[in-house]
Amino acid sequence: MGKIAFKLILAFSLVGLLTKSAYTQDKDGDKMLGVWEVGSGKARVKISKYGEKYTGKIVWLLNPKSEDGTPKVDKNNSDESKRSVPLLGNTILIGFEYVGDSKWDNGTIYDAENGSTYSCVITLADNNTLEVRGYIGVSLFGRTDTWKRVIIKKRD
Amino acid sequence: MNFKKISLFVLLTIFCFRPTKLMAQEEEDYSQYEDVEVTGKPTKNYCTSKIVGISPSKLISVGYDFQSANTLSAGSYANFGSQETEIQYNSGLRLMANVPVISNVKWLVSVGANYAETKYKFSPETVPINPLVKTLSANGLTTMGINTTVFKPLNEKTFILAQTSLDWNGDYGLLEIPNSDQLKVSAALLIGRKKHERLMIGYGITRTYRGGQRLYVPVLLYNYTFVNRKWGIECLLPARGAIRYTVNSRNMLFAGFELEGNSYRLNNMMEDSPSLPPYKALELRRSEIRTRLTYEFSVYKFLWLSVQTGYRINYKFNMDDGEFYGRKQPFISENKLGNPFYMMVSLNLVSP
Repeated sequence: MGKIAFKLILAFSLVGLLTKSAYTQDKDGDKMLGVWEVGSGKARVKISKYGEKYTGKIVWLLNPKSEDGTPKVDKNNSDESKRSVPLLGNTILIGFEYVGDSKWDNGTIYDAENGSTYSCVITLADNNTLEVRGYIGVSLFGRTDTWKRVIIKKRD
Repeated sequence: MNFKKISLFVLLTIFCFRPTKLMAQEEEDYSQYEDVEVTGKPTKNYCTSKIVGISPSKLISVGYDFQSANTLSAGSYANFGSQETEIQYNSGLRLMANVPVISNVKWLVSVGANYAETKYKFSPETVPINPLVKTLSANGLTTMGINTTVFKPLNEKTFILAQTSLDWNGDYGLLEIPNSDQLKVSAALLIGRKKHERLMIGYGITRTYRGGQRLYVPVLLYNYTFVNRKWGIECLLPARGAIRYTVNSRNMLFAGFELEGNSYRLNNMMEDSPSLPPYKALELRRSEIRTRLTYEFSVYKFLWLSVQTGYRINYKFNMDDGEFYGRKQPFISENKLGNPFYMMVSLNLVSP
């Protein structure tokens, strides 16, 4: 009886530890959630979580209209069928996983200005600053942009 | 009754499997993201090193240069006579790597290396007598170098651009180790303004060998993309200038020119042909303008092919004794090169 009780306690403790670790991991990973302004100040990106992966979509553009007055579309996309998709609402960060140490990896970033998709690693420099590094092949061939967290003001 | 049940089942199924996320996205009110407050320390914005629509910069480039038949009239010097020759073709590898080692909003620092050779294939009837013909036939001309580029934005509009390169130029082959006396140092320093996302202008000074010998000349950077985004200008005068036509973001056409040149230490020639009076440092002053049409396109993702064709106009191929600034003495010998058509093909890994 004592042995069974000991095994049960051990099993519950292990489950408890694993759950706590997963919870902490989740909590740290979720620090990236929110709305961020890109370095140039031309766009804001909302980062959300679906399952275990993080994605980001454009929710605001400094210049949302094209020169002809119509909403900007993804005209540089290499996939012709996507060239009429509005930039606002377009998902540009895909497939990020939290890998620990305030870092999200294994995702891609899409640059609508040239229609290219890059490998990407994101680091949380502080709670309000993201270092977003897009690169090709190895991280050395890349460029880092600094994004700042923004808080949506409540409407009256 | 059965019909009602089936209808209810179908309606329930549609309700359960409705695309909730998509609907949520479609219905999202994006106006809520207009009025925001930036958190944390206030950030200073900096301009980037690129304008919208500019051609992608090359990180790694492997190319081959081919120049069609032309002539070389090698002048006499010391006790050597002149020689008229026919060159069947010139060719050579062009390798370049440019790696950004620091790349963030405040600094962009890249280091690079380059290798360029020009081999001379003379006609079979040519018997190399003149030492210059001899060394060009045996060794050709080679440039090997390293360089650093620093782009430092000061604020949203103003930037500083600095570039330094160390090049070893001479009549040596790929497997020979260049000497320190073949070293030439070039540099440029510019201050510029990124007036808006389609225009970048910079002014400065450069120490360059593109004119065949050491020169200190003003330099102008002008990168501009027209409102229609189809046309643009990419200039770094006097080194190069081009008009750009963007077919789409993965296909670009250019019409322009490049001023190419260097001063080459002819150590192999001096060893092979000791002469009287004993020259201590023979330098070949080469300078030419390449007018050209270029088509660059993405082969696969970031791998771009560049095909360039044009006309090479050589205007300096003379010899001096010593490396100096300014013209202190007449050339040791004056040589004349013909002007051939040329073609250059390169495969490039381009920057994000």
